[in-house]
This record gives sequence, C-alpha cells and structure tokens, in this order.
Amino acid sequence: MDRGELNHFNKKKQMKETEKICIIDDDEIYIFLIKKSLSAMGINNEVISFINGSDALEALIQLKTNNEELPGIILLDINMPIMDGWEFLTEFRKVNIDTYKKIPIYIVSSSIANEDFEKSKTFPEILDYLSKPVELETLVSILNF
Amino acid sequence: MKSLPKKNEYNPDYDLFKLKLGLSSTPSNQKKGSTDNLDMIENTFIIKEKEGLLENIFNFLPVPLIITRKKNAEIILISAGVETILQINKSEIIGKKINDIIVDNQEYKQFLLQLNIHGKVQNSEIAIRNFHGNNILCLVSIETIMANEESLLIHSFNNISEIKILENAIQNSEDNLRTVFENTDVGYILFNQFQNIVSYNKPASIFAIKEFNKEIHIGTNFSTYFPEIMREYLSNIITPVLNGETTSFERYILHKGEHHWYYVKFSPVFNKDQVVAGFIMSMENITDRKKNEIELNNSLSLVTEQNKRLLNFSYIVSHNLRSHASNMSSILNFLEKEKSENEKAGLLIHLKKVSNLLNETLYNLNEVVSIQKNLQTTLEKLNLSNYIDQAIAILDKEIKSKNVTVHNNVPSDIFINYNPAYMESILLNFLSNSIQYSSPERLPIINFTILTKNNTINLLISDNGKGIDMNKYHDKIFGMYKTFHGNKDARGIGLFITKNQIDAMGGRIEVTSEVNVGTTFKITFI
Repeated sequence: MDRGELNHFNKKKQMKETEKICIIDDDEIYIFLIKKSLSAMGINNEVISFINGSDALEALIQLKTNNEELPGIILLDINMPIMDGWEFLTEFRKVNIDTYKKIPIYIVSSSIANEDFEKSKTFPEILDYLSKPVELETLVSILNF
Repeated sequence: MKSLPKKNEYNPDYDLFKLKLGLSSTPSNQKKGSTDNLDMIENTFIIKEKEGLLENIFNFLPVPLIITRKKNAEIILISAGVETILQINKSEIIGKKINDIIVDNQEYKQFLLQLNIHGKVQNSEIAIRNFHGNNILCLVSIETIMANEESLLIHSFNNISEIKILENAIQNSEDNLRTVFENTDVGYILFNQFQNIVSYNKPASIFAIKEFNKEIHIGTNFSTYFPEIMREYLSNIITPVLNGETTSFERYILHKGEHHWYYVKFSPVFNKDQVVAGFIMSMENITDRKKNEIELNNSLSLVTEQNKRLLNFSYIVSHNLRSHASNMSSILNFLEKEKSENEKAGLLIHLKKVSNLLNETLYNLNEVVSIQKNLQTTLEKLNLSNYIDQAIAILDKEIKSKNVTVHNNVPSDIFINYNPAYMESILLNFLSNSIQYSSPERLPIINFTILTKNNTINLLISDNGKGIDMNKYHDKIFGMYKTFHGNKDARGIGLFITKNQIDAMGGRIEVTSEVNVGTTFKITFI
C-alpha cells in the first residue's frame, strides 16, 4: 500500500535499464517475490539484495570506491538485524554517496505503525513509504520506466 | 455653693446629714450660750456642710460607691454610678441592706472577714443584682471609715460584666484554638526570630521524641534538635523564611530501618509592622500517604511497562503476521497465473517456507502470551545451584564442542521461590547464548556468581565472548527478533522470552557488555 504522502524531493527520473535495483530486506522470500514480479513485468534490471543495512552500506561504499555505477533505486526495509533501516539511512548520509548520485529510496515495510511512518518523514532521502505487500502497479510506478 | 447657715437657723440639709450619719441634732456636750459650744456647733456644721458637699458630689459621681453602716449593713449613701448600675432611684435603696443587692452573701461575708483581718478588700469579684433581677459582675473594693465613732463601709464597684463577657469569649476562642492546636495530627512549633522555641503542641512533642529522642523545651534553639550534619542544610532553609518566604518539602527520616515521611512547612510570622517576628514549623506525618503514593507509582510503572510490552507485542504481531501474510498472498497470486509446473513447484516450496515461518511466529507469540497468562503460576522453592548444574548438563554437548569452561560459583544453600519451568528456560537461554557467542579468539569461560545486596539475590552470568555493542543495541537487546552478531541461526526470540519470564516473576534483568571483552547478565530475583 502506497501511503503516497512523502514526496520530499519529488524528482523522479527515468530509470535506465542498466541501473541496478537495490533491495535491503532480511525477508528472503520477499526478495524472491520482488525479483519474480520484476521478471513478470519484463524488467530485467539487475537486482542486488542485502539482508541487513550494514552489508548494503558496505557494498554501496565499495561501488563508489570502485567508481562503479550506483543503484538507480533502493527499496529499504525497516526491521532488520545488525543494522536496521533507520541506522542504514543515518550511516548512508554520513558516507556522502548522495553527492555522487541521488538515489531514490523507498521504505518497503510490513510495519503499519504510525510511529515508523512519522519517522520516515524526518529523512528527506525517503521518497515514499510503502507497506507490504506492494502491488505490481505500485512497483512499476516507483521504478518509473 | 450653699451659704453657711446662721447659728440655730433651721437647715434641712444639715438635719438630713445628722440623721444619715447618726449624729444627734444637738451634740451632747453642747451648752447653750457657751462660746465654746457655739464654736463646736459651728465646726460641726462646717463638717456637715462639707459632708453635704460630698453628698452632692456623690449625686453626680459616675463611679458606683455605696456607703453602709458596718453594724447593720444599712445603705446610707450611694453615688449616681450605683443608680446607673442597679437601674434604681436613690430613694428606693437608701435604708435597705447591702445584702439585698448582693447575690452571694456567703461570699460577701468572706469579704467582711477579710476586711477585719486586712483592713480592706481590693478588687474582688462579686455579683450584685439590679432592679430587674439581673446579675452584674463587679470588682468590689471595701474600706472602713469612721464617722462619729461609727464604722462605715465604703464599697466601690467596678462593673466588669462586659469585660468578663469579652474575657470569656476570648478564653473560649483560645480554648477552641488550643483544642484544635492540640488535637490536630500536625505538629506545630512556634519560633521567635532568634530561632528559639516559643510554643509547641503535643504532636510536635511526640515528633521530637519519636524521631530525635529529644524533648522539646521552650526557649531552646531550633538547631539543637538536629544532628550537626544537618545544620547547614537547615540554615539554608530557615534564612529565606526569616526573609518572609514560605517553604515546604517532603522528607523522610530513617528510623530503625524504616522510612518515616514528613511534610514539613516553614511559614514566617509577621508582627503588626509586617516585620518577621519568627516562624512556624509544621510537620505532618505522611508515611501512609507516601507509601500509597510509592505503591501507586510502582503500579503505574508496572502498568506502563506492561502497556509498553503489550504495544511492542501488538507491533510484533502486526508486523510479523503481515509480513508472512503478504508473502503468502503474493505467492498465491503467482501460482494462479503460473502455467509452468516447474515454476509452480518452486513457488510451492516458498509457500511451505512461509507457512513454516508463520507457524514458528505463532508458536513464539503463543509462548509470550502464555507467560503473561501464567502470572499466577505456582512457585516452588528452587535450589539455584542445582538448576545451574542441570542447565550445564543439558548443554554438555555444546559446551564440550566449543571447549567452554563453566564455573558454577553459586553456594548450594541459595533457594529461590520461582516457577521451575521459567528458571530452567532462563538459565538455558543465558547459558546457550554465552556458548553460542563465545569468542573464537580465546578459550570461552562462563561464570555463574551470586551477588546479595539489601536482602536481594542477584545472579550474574558473565562470559568472555564476543560482547554486544551497547551503544548500538542497548535498547534492543531484549526486543523480539533482534539479533546482534550476524549469526544466521539467531532467531532473536530467546532474550525476548527470557526477559518476559523474568518480568512476569517480578524480577529485573540488566546487561553490561563490551565488544570483544564479554557480556554479563544480572538477574535480580524478587
């Protein structure tokens, strides 16, 4: 379900087919399903997935260091072990990846707690807050092909 | 002023006086025609003339005076003040006995006795009766005078009825205030500006004896009732009070291990010029109220904590069930549309995984609910050391495989009233955690030790394992599905369940940890 209320930087840009889709979520079945959904829609962008924020952050820093292309979108879960979504966002801000490339970040969570939704408003990097399960139409819309 | 009558001239006033004062109209030693006699008569007349003047003064004198004969108490002269008091005309009282207007003649007799002994009676209370039969309280002074060899008594009356009414009213008022003062539960001590005691009531006296084993004495200084160590603190309190400020606070006094709570108030006392002339210290024993307040706060904390747990629980339920449900829903959507049997088989495998995870989640949630439900569960007296040995025996395989040394330092005489299943579960959880997160860099050591403080038993479970980054995870350690070591098998449920079990038994769990040094869990048994 798309809350559709967060549009901090409302600068959706066309996603290139070469751009990676980054999924940070500890639910491996969810990652499988997203990949399947993308495939069903004929979206063949590479999907990179991480089961916690820490692994994702490490990979993103590596990409930046190696001058490799950074993902075109990040779908971020909140509740994860080791480093949750909020901690990831805080650390992500610190490493200044944003100065190289503005990556749209979407929260995709099973949480429907208002507290989480309100907290997401405090991160300008977050483009929108989506509650699981995410409809195919919503997925297409946010990928903006 | 009347002119002097001529000799032998009839003068009615003169005769009246002679009569009143018992003088014969013709003195016995008077000899007609004798010059001496004439002089004497003239002198007598002069005296009588002065007496006439005196009577005139009496006629206007507002001070109540009555002159009686001592021998028979006959009233022979009254002042205008008597007419006013008794509401009677002079003619109606002259010739009557003084006893006719005295209410209690026995009392009057006593006065006469006193008069005989001491020569006078001064300001003694006596009631006289007026014309209307009303009693009037007076102060009476009686003196004896001699007139023509006869003893006369001069009674001067001072009407004190109104004063007495006022006095009684004040006395009643004071009595009422004193009654309130003495019968209140609040202790009051009045101090002057030099901080010396001026007055106090009974509860204050009880307070001083009970709390400081000291009796209160008027005139003693405030500071002498308190230990030396408190004097500076008290001085800081009193100084603003002497500057006109009121101050109050709640404070306990530790008495034989018990907290006696008091509400203490210092109020300045101002004189008519609005200058601080002293202060009142009031002390109210609020121990019962305070105990209730503390119990209420504890209950509130407990309810708040339970509410927090409930909210957390509902959040977990909502999040986890939604997560599985949404995955199931998505898989079923794909299954409906999928034509390839191979793909369908793959989806079914995932569906089974989700189903298992859902089952596990429901099992965990059920376990948490059952802890909350089993609060009234039967307690047993458990030997703590034995239970630790049992846990070590159960995890013997894991202990040996990781080469862990476990020291059970708990004395064998420590018994805890606890739910046996919870005790077993708690010890197993902590022990297996310590084994699981032991450091590969050193030989793992786990210690079980007892720390007894204020009659409370604390069990410390310390290890030299990987440790937890407390800066990051201090508020998440006991959360559901929280893991900290990147271990794929970690389910993040053990510590959550353990904390719930400890909380349910009214205990506490605390943790201290340092990455690469180790972790210590402290369980407080209540």
